[in-house]
Amino acid sequence: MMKRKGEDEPWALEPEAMAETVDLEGRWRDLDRLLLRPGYIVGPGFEPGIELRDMIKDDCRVLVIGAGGLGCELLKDLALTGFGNIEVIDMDTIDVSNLNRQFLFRMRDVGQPKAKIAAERVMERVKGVNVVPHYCRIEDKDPFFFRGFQIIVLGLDSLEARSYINAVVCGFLEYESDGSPDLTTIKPMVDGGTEGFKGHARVIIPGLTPCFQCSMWLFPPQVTFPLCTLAETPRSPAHCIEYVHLIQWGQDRPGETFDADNTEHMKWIFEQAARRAEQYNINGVTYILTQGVVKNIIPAIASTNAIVAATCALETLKIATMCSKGMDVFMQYTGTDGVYMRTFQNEKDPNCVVCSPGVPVEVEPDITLKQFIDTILKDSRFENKISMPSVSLQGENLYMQAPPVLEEETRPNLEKALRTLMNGEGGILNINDRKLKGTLRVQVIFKDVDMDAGGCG
Amino acid sequence: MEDSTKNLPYLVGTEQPKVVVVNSFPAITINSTPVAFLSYVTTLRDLLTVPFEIFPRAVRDERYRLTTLTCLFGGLPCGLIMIKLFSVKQKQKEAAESANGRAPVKKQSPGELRVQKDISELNLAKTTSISFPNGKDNLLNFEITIRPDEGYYQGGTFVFTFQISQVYPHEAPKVKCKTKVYHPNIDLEGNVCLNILREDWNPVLSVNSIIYGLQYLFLDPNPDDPLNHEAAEVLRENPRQFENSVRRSMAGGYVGGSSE
Repeated sequence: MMKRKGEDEPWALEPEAMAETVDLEGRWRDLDRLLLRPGYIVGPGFEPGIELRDMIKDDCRVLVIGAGGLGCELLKDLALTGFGNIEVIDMDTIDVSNLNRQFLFRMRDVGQPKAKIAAERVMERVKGVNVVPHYCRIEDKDPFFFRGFQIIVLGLDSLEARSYINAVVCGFLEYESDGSPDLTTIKPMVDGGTEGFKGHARVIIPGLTPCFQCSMWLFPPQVTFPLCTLAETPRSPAHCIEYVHLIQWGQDRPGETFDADNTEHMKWIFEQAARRAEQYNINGVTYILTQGVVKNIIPAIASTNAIVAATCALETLKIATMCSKGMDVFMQYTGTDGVYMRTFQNEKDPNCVVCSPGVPVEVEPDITLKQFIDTILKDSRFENKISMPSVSLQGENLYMQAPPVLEEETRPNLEKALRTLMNGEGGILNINDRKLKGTLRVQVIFKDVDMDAGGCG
Repeated sequence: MEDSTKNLPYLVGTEQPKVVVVNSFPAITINSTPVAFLSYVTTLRDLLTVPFEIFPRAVRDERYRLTTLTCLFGGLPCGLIMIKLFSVKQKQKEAAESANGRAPVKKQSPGELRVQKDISELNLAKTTSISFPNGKDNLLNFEITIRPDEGYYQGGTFVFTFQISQVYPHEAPKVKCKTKVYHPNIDLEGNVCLNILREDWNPVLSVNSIIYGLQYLFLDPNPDDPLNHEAAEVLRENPRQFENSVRRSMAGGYVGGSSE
C-alpha cells in the first residue's frame, strides 16, 4: 500500500487517513438534526427518535444498481449518510477511462468488476457499513432478489435497464379492490441519471407516483442518420463513422459481430472512417469521436454525478425515515450555464401498461377463455371500445386475433378453462384490440378465490 | 436539545429561494441574500454546512438552511401516505411462493407489450406472410416474407428479419433483408434504406407501417436514395436494363459488382 502513494495515484488519500476522518465524534450530528427533531416539513408518520438511525443502519436494505459514475457517488453518499446494509449490482469491469470520475477505483483495479471493487473501497473507508457486490446483469437476478430490499436506487445509463427494473418492481405492486395501491406491496425506487452537464433525479413510488414507463415518451428519440445519406452523401465526421460501423463492417468483415468494447474493432472503425472522411474532404474524425458516435457516449461530468447522486441519497433517506416529505416528483438539473434546478410533478399514465391497476372484472371460476372474451365484449364499461380482443397473460399469448398463423395456434385455448390458463389464480390480462389506442389491462377476479390470493375485496 | 425549528414559519413570509450566479458561482438566495453555494454540494453533510463555512455573511438562521434544503430537494409530499418499507405481507408471500417452488411470472418488457399489440392487429396483404421462428410467445423476433405480385420484382420471394428492442417503440425495429436482392435501396448485406426505419421513425408507427414501407420498396424502388449505387444508376439511366438485371438476379444470376 505504501509504495503506491505518489506513484500511480498521487491524488489519492491513503484509505487509513480517510477511515479516521469518518469515525470522528459528531459523525451523526447532521443526521441527528434531521432524525431527532420534529418539524413542519417532515413526512407523514415521521416520529423523531434515535431508533431511526439504528433502523437505517441495521434494518433497511438498499440496493444500488450500477457502480459507475453515479454508482460510486451513490455508494459513498449512502454509506456516509448511515445506511448500513447496501448491495450493489453491476455487470461491468473497470476501464482506464473510468478513473477520472469513478473515484472508488484505482489504476491497479482496471479489469476488475466494478461492483466488487466499489464494495471493498466503501467498506474500507466507511466504518460499520456492509456492502455486498453482485457482478452480473440485473436480468440474471431472480425477481425475488429485488424484493428483498426496502429501497432500490438506480445509477444507470440506459433506458433498457431502467425499463426492465421498473417493470420488475412495478410487478410487485398489488391494488386493493377500490383501485388504490396496496401499500404493503410498494417498493420505492430512486432514479438518477446524468448526461454531460445535465441530470435528473426522480422518485418512483409505484402506484403513487408515475413509473418510468408512464413518462417514457418524454425521452427524446435517438439521433439516427438515413442509411442512404451515410452511403451516398456523407457530410459530417459522424456520417463517416456510422457508415463504417453500420455498413462497411458487414461488407469487409462478414460473419464477425462488432463489439464496441473490443479495441481492435474500434480502431478499425476509426481508421476506415478516417479514410472515408478523407475521400469526402471531411475533417474531424478522431478516435474519441468514433467511440462517442458508435457507443453513443456523452462526456461524463463528475460534478453532475455528485449533485444527482446527493439528491438521490437524500431522497433515499427521506423515504426510509420520512424525516422530510419526498421530492415531488422529478428534479431536473442543468449545469451548462450556471446552475438551473427545478422540480416538477409529472403525471401518472392512468392506462400505463406497467403500473396501472387494470379494470377489475369478476368472473365465474370455471369459465373458458371464449366465455371470458364474450363477457368483456358484453361489459358496458368496454362498450364500443373493443370488438375483436386478443388476450395475453404477460408474455404468453392466450388468444391472438391476428396474424392467421398465431390465430390458428392459439385457437385451441379458447375452449380451455381461463383459470388453468392463468395458473390457477386471478391477475392482470392484457387486452389488445384495433379499436383501442393502447393495451387494456383487465384484472381478473375469480369469484370463489379467497380475498388474499385474488387481491379482491 | 433545544428545538429551535419548531416554531419557525419556514416558508411563510419568505421569498421562494432562487438559484442565481453570485461572483461567478452558482448560489441559492433567499430574499436576495446568498445562503448556499452549489458547486460543492456533494453530500448531506456538505449541504448542511456549506452555507456557513463558505459564506460567513449568510444569515445564520436555521430557517434558511432548512428552506434551502426544501428548495433544492422539493418540499411537497409524494402522496400523503407513509410507505410501509417493512412489509410482513410481502415476506409471507415470498415464503409461500418459494415453498411452492413456483417462480413469479416473468415480467414482460414494455417493448414486448407493445409488439403484442402490433402483432395482434396486423393486417397483412395477401402478398405478405409472417412467421415466428421462436414460437408464438416470442414476438420480438420474426420474419416477414413478401412476394410482390406486380412491378420489377413480381414473382420473387423476399424474407426480412425483424428484431424488436425491449424499449420498442422508443426505438425502431431492426430490419434486415435475408434474401440477396438487386435493389437500389437494399445492399448486399441486407441493409434496408427506408426512412421510417431510421430518421423518420416515430413511436406512433407500427410493425404494420414498416411492412407497408417494405412492400412499397418493391413496387417503387427509389434510385435517388441509393444503398446499392450501381443498381440505382442502372435504374435511372436504363430502366429496361434494370428490369432485366432484376429478373436475372431473381433467377439466381449474378449481377454487377458489389456495392463497394
